[in-house]
Amino acid sequence: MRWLRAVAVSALLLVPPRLAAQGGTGTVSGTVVDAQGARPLSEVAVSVAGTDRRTVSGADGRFTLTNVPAGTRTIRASRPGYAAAEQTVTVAAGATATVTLRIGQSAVALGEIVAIGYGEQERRNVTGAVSSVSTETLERTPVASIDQLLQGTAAGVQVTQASSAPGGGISIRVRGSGSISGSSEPLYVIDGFPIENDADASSPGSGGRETASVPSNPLAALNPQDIESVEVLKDASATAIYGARGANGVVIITTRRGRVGRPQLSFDVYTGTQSVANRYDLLDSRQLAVAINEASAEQGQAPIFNQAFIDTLGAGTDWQDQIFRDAPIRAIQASVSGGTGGENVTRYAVSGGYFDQEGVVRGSGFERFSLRANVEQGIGARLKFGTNLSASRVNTSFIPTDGESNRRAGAVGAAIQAYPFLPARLEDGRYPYQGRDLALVGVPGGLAADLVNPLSLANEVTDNLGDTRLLGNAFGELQLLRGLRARVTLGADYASRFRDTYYPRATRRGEEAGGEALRGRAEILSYLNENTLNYEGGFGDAHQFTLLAGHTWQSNENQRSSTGASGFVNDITTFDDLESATVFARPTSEREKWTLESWLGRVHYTLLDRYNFTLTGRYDGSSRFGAGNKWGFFPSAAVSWLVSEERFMESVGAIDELKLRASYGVAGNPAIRPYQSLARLTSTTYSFGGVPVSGYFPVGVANDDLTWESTTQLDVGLDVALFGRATLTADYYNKRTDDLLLLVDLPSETGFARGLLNAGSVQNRGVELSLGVDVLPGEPRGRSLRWSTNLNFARNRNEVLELAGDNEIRASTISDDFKLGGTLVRVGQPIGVFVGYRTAGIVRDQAMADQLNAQFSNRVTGQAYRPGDVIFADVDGNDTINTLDRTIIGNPHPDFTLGWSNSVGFGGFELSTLLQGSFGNDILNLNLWRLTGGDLATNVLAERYEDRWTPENPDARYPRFGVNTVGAGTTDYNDLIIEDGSYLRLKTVSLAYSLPDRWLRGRGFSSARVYVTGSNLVTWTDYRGFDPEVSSFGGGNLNRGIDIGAYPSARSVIVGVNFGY
Amino acid sequence: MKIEIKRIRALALALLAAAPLAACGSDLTEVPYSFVAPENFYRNADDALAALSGAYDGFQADVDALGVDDTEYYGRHYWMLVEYPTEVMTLRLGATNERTEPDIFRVHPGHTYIAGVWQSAFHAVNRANAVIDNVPGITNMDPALRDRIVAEAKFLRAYHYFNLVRLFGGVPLYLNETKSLDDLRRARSTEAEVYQAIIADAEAAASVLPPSYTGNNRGRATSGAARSLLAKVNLQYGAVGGGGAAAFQKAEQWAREVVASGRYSLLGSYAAIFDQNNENNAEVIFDIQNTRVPGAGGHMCDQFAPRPQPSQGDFPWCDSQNPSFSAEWPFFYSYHPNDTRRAATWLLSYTKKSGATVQWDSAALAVNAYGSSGPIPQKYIDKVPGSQDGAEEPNFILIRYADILLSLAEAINENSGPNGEAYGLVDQVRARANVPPLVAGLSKQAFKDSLFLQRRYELAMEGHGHFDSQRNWAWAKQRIESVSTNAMRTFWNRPRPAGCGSCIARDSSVPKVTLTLDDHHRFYPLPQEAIDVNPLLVQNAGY
Repeated sequence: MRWLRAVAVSALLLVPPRLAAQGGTGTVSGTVVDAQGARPLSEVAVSVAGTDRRTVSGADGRFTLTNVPAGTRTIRASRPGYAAAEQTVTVAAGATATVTLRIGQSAVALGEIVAIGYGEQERRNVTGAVSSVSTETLERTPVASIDQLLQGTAAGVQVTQASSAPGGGISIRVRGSGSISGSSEPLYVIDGFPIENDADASSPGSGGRETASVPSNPLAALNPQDIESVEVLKDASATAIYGARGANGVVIITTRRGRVGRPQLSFDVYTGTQSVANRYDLLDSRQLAVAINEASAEQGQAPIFNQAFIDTLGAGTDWQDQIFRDAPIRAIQASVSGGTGGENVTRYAVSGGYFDQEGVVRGSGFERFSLRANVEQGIGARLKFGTNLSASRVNTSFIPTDGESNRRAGAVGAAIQAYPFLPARLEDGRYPYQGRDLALVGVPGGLAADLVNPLSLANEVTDNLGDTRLLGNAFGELQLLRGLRARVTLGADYASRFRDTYYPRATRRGEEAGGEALRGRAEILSYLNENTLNYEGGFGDAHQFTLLAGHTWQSNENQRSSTGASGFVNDITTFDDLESATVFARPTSEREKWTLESWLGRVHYTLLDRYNFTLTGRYDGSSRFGAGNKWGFFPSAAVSWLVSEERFMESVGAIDELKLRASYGVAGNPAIRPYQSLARLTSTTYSFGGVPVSGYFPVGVANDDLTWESTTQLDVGLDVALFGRATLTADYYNKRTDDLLLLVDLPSETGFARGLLNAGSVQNRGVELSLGVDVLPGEPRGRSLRWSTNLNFARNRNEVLELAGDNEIRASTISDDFKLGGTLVRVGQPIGVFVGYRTAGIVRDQAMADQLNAQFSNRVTGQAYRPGDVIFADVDGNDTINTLDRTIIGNPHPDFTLGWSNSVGFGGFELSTLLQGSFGNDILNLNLWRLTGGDLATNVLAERYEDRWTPENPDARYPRFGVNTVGAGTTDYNDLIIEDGSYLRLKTVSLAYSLPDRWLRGRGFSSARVYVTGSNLVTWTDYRGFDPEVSSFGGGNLNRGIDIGAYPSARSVIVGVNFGY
Repeated sequence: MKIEIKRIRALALALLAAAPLAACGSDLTEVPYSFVAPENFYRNADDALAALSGAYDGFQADVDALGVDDTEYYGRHYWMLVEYPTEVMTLRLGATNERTEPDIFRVHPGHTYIAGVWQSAFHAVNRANAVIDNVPGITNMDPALRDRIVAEAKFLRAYHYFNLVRLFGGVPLYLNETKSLDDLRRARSTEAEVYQAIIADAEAAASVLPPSYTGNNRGRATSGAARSLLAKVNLQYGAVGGGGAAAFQKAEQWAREVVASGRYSLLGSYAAIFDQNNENNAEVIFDIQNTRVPGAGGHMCDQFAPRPQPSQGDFPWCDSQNPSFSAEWPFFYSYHPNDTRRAATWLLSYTKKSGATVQWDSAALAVNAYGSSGPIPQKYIDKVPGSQDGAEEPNFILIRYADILLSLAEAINENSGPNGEAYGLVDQVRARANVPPLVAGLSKQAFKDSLFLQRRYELAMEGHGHFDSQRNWAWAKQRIESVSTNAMRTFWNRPRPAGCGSCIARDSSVPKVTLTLDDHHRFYPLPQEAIDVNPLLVQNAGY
C-alpha cells in the first residue's frame, strides 16, 4: 500500500492547477444516433472525459448527465462493436448543454467497451493485453463451437482442431504452452462463470478405443450464435484477477442480452454441404501387386503374384471413396430480444437454435439443440436482478475414425492403409478384412497388416455421445451509494454426459466378442458463488478510481462410471439390454471433487484521463493442493500512458490515439487432478485357491508441499490509432512459469514410478501485432466501395529452462504397434520435440555405398549400405550409426501464426475473407510409417513407389522399394516422416447481400441478408496428410503435432439467410 | 461528503447477507471418494488381509497407475530374461529385435525388459513393505493371524529380492514403505548383504507360517515354501553370491527339512503337474495363483501360442498375437526318446478353430501350418476356449517338489560329492519322466553337469534357466555357445517353403551370430533409466 500512496501523492503533484481551479457544475443532455443519423441507439455508454460522470442512453437514444463540472468538456459515447464518438461541448454552471453523438460500426473500434473480468472498461483505459474477437462476422461465417471463433482472429491465440470430427476436440494456446504435465488450456468465463474445460475429467469413457482418440469437446454444447463478445485476456495484468487459474490466459465470453427498445426478432437459417478437402494418393490393386513383387525380388524371394494373376487385377477398392462422403450441415436459430425502459427497466434476450452436421466420414455426425434466456429486471434505479440461463443437448455419433494401426486402426487409418485387393463388402453382405480374408481374392495373407475393414467401422459401429448441459447463474445488484455497487451471483453448471457404444457382429471386434457393448456415464456439477463490491468515483477533475473487492467460491464434482458386456445372442438389443449378454466387463466408477475459494481485488486509477494504473490481486485457496500449500497470492501491476492526450501531441494530427502499456504480475495454473497431494492406495485383484479376492496397495506418495505452477509475465505494449481509420496493437511479452507441476520419474526402487512435484521452469517469449485498417471507409450499405482489413501476427518462442534433477523427460509412447517413444522435453529446447535419426539422402550407387561402408559401421540396421538405402547421419561423429546418433529432428511449435481478414463491400454486398496460417511447425506423420515404409503390409503412397530409387533413378526421393524407409531399429523413426506442417489457409470466404431498407420497410423487416460462405476452400501446404492442423493426442503439451489416422478436415459451402424484424 | 445512515445500513445488510455464502467454502480439505488413503486403512483384519493380497498381486503387476505394464514381470519379460539366454528357448524374430537381445546376450542398459522387471520387482517389494510396516500396528485382530500376515509378506519380499539379486547382483535394499518424496535414492548393497536380508526374511517366515492351508487360502506361502526358498537361496548364495560352504550346508539342511516334512510328492504323470484342472497338487510348493477373472489371471497364451496362418484368430484357445517363445531345435531333438517331458513341455499338435489339425512336423518344416517358428512351450497355455489375456487360468509354479529334490542332490554333491543319496534323488526325477537312471561313477563335476542338464529338461520354461546357468557357469557357457548358435543358424537361414506365397519371409540378410559368452553375462546390466533417476547406482562391470 505504500507504493499506492506514493503514486497517489506524485499524481497529485502532476495535476495542473488550471483544472483544479474551476468551479460549478452544469448538465449535458442529448441523443445518440447511428452513423447515418437514422436510428437512435440505446444502451450506449456516455461519459464526460476526465470525470466520473457517466450514464447510458435510453430506448430513444436520449441521455442526461448532471453535475458536469463547468468548462469545455469532451463527451464520449461508446458501445461494444461500434467505434466510439467524441464531441466537445461547453458546459456553463447551472445551464444545460445539448449534444448529438453519432456512432458507427467499424472494423477499427477504439472506444469500445471490453470485458476484463468482474467488470468492464473502455478500451482506452485498459492497461493489460486484451484481444477482442469480432463476432460481427459470425452471422455469415458460422462456426460449430465457440472455441473455433478464436481461430485466426486474435494475435497470440493458437487454435488447433485436434480432431476434425464433428464435435471433435480443440486445443487452444494463449501465448504458448506454460506447463508440461498439466493443462495449458485457457480458462473460459461464460457470463461470469469460470469453466475449466477439462475434457478428460468430463469424459464419459473412450468407447472401448485403446489409443490416440481425441476426447470430444465439452464446449461444443454451447451455441456460438448466442455470443455477443469474446475477449481474450493475455497478460498478467488482465489475468491476475483470475489468480490461480489465469496463467494460461482467460477467454471471456459474453452472451447476447436485450437492449431497451422495441422487441427485435431475428431468424437465421443456413444449409450447406461438406466434403473431404484432401486425400492420400495411393496405389491401386494392379500397381500394388507389381510393387510387392518388386520388393519381394529385392529381398531375394520369389514373386508373390504371377503375371496371369496380375493381369486379372483392376483398380480394386478405393477405401477412401468408401468411407468418405459429401455431408450436409444445417442450422436454424430464432431469437427475440428487447427491453422496456421507465422506472423499472426490463431487458431480455431469448433464443433457440438447432445445429446439425453430418461428418464427411460415413456414420459420424453431430447435432445440438440449444435454448437461452438472459433476463434482467430493474427495481427502481438502484436494484436489479437477472439471470443467464442456457440449456443444450448434443448428440454426437463418434464412430471409430481416429486411431493407430493394425487392429487398433480407426476407419480413417484403416482406409488409407488397407490393400485395395478385397472388395468393400462381399456378395453376401459381409465385410471382409485383410487379416483373414485375402485368400478369397487369391492373395496370400502372410504380409498383410492385421487391419479391420474400414467400412464396417463406419457403417456398423454405434458410438453415441450425449451431452446435456445446463449453465445458469442468477445475480442481484444493488447500488449502495453513488458509484458503489454490490453484486451477488449464484451459478451452476451441470452436464450429464453418456457414451453408448456397440460393436455388432458385422465388425471384426463384434464378431470376435459376439457383439460388444459399452456404456459410460459422466456427471459434472459445478457451483459458483461470487460476491463483489464495485466502486467508481473520483475526486477533483483529475482523479478517477474504480475499485473492486470480492469473494468467490466454486466447487466442482465429477462422477464417472462405465460398464460393458459381450457375448450377445444377437445384435438386436445392444447396450440397452446388457443383462442379455454372457460376458461382463469389470464395471468402474469414480468420483472427484475440488473446491476453490478466493478473495480478489482491483484498483484502477486514471489520472488526468491519460495515466492509468491498475493493481490487481487474488488470493486463492484450492483443495487440490498439499495440506501446507493450499493458498496462494497472485498480484499484478500495470500502467498505461495515453501519450496522444498530452499537449505536445495535439499538433500531431495523424495520431488519434497513442497508448503505451506495461504490466508485470503473477498468475497460477492449478493444472492437476484432485487428490494428487495425498497418499493413495488402489484396489487390485488376486486369487487364492481359484477364488478372487480384492487387495489394496500403495500407488501414490503424499506430497504436502504440492502447489500451483506460477507464471510471471512481463508485457510491454503499444496501441496506436491513426488517421481515423487504422489501429495497431503491438505487444512483447516474456512469460516464465516456475514450480511446474511436474510428473517426475522416481527411483523405481521406492516402489513408485512417478511422483508429482513442483519443479522446473518453462519460458514463453514473443511478440504480437494486430493491425486494423479501414482502407476505404464507408457507411454500411452505402453507395461506395468499402474495404477494411485486419491482420494479426504472433510469434512465440517456447523453451524449457529447467527440469527436476534430470535434463530431459520422455513423453509416453506414441504407438503401441510400432513401440515408438514419445516426444522429448529437454532443457534448452521447446516442449515436446521429436527425436530420431536424421537422414542424409539415398545411396546413389555402389561407389557411394562402398565409400559409406568404408567409413561407417551401421549398428542400427546391422547391415552394410547398399545402393538405394537411406543414409543415416552420423550425428556424434564416431563413425558408427547407433542410438547415440538419435537427435532432435522436429519441433511441433510454429515459428509464427498469422490471421488476415478482409471485408469488401459495395451497396448491400459484403465480401469477407479470412486467411489463417501457421508457419515453421513440424508434424510427425505416422501414417507414412506404413504408406512409405516398405514393409508391404499395407497400401503404399503412389509417390513412394513412383519416385523410388532404381539404378535408373539414382536421385530418387525415396529408397529402393522393399527396404524400411522410415524406421531405424524397431523403436525409432527418422526424419523422413517428419513433415513441415506450415500452412496458409483460406479459412473462409463469404459473400453476403443485405436487402435494401426500402424493400424491407413496410414488410416489418428491419434487416434481411442472404449469404454464401465457403470454408477451408484452399490450403497451401507441403504437408502430405489430410490436414496439417492436426493433433492426434488432443490438448496435452506433450506429443503434440502427431498425425495417426486423424479425421480429415472438411471443405464446406453453405448458404444462409438472416432476418430481423 | 454526506453519507446517509440508511445507506450505511443497506451496506451492512448486504455484507451480512453475503457473509454466510462466503463462509461455506472455507474447508479446503480433500475428501477422497474413489480410493483409500492410508489414514483410513490398516484398521482391522480385513484391511490387513487386503493389503497382503495387494502384495501377492505384485507378481501380476498390472497397474497402469505405476507405469507398470502387465507384461513386464511374470506376464512376459521375466520369462524372456530368464529363459531366452539358455540353449532351450529362442524366438521367431531377427537379431535386431529387442526381444532377441536376451537370447543372444546383447542386452544393453537401455533395454526395456530389464527396466520393466526391475520396476515390477521393486514395486512388489514396496507392497510387501507396506504390509510389514503397517499391519503390526493393528490392535483389534487375532495376533496369530497378524503374525502370519507379516510372515507371508516377508516371504514375498524375500522372493522378489531373490529375483533381483539373481538378475542384477547387489541391489539397493528398501526394507520400509516409501512414505515421502524425500531421501529416495540409495546406493547398491553388496550381493552378500542382499542375500542376508533375503535369508533373514525367509527364516522369519519359515518359523511363523503354517505348513498348509485349506480352501480359499490355498496358494498362500507356507512354511514349506519358505524352507524351499531358503534351500534355493542358500544354493545360489553358495555358488554365486559368495556364501561359500556354509551356505551349501544350509541349503542341504533346508531342503532336507522340506523332503522330511512328507507334505510333497512327485506326481505320477509329468503332464499332470501343469494340468489346469489339477492346480495346487502335491508337487506344488509355491505358485502364482491365476484365475479366470480379468486382472487376476495370466497372459501367457498371448506370448506362447503359435500364430496360425492365415488367421491368427484360428488358434483354438485364445487369440495369439505375439508368439514369442519357441524351442531351440537341437535341444528339442536331444530329449531321450522315452522322455515324457518333451510332449508335455512343447505343443506338438493342435486343432484349429476352423477344423484342421496341425502337427509339428520337423521334416517338412511346416512352419506355415503350425503357425510359428518352432514348437512352442505349452506349460502355461490356458486350454479352455475363450480365455482372455490377463484372465488365463493356469497358475505359474514358482517352486515345485522336483526342483527341491534336484536342489537337495545339488547341495549334497557340493557338500559331500555324488553319493548314493544324491544319485537316488536325481533318479527319482528321471524315473518319473520315464528316463533310465543316471550312469554310475560320475565325478563331482560330471554329476553336477548331468544334474544341471536334467534341470533343463525337468524345469524348462519354469523360470529357472539362466539362474541355473549362473551356478554352473562354465558348463552353461560352453553349452550355450555351441548349441544355441547352431540353432540360430538353422533357423535364420531356413528358406521359405516353395510355393507358399503367404509364408512369412525370413530376412536372409540377418547376420550370423557367433555367441561368445563373457563372465559379465551372468548378470544383466542395471537399467539405464534407473541409473538416470538414481545416480548413486553403479553399473555392473562389462556394461
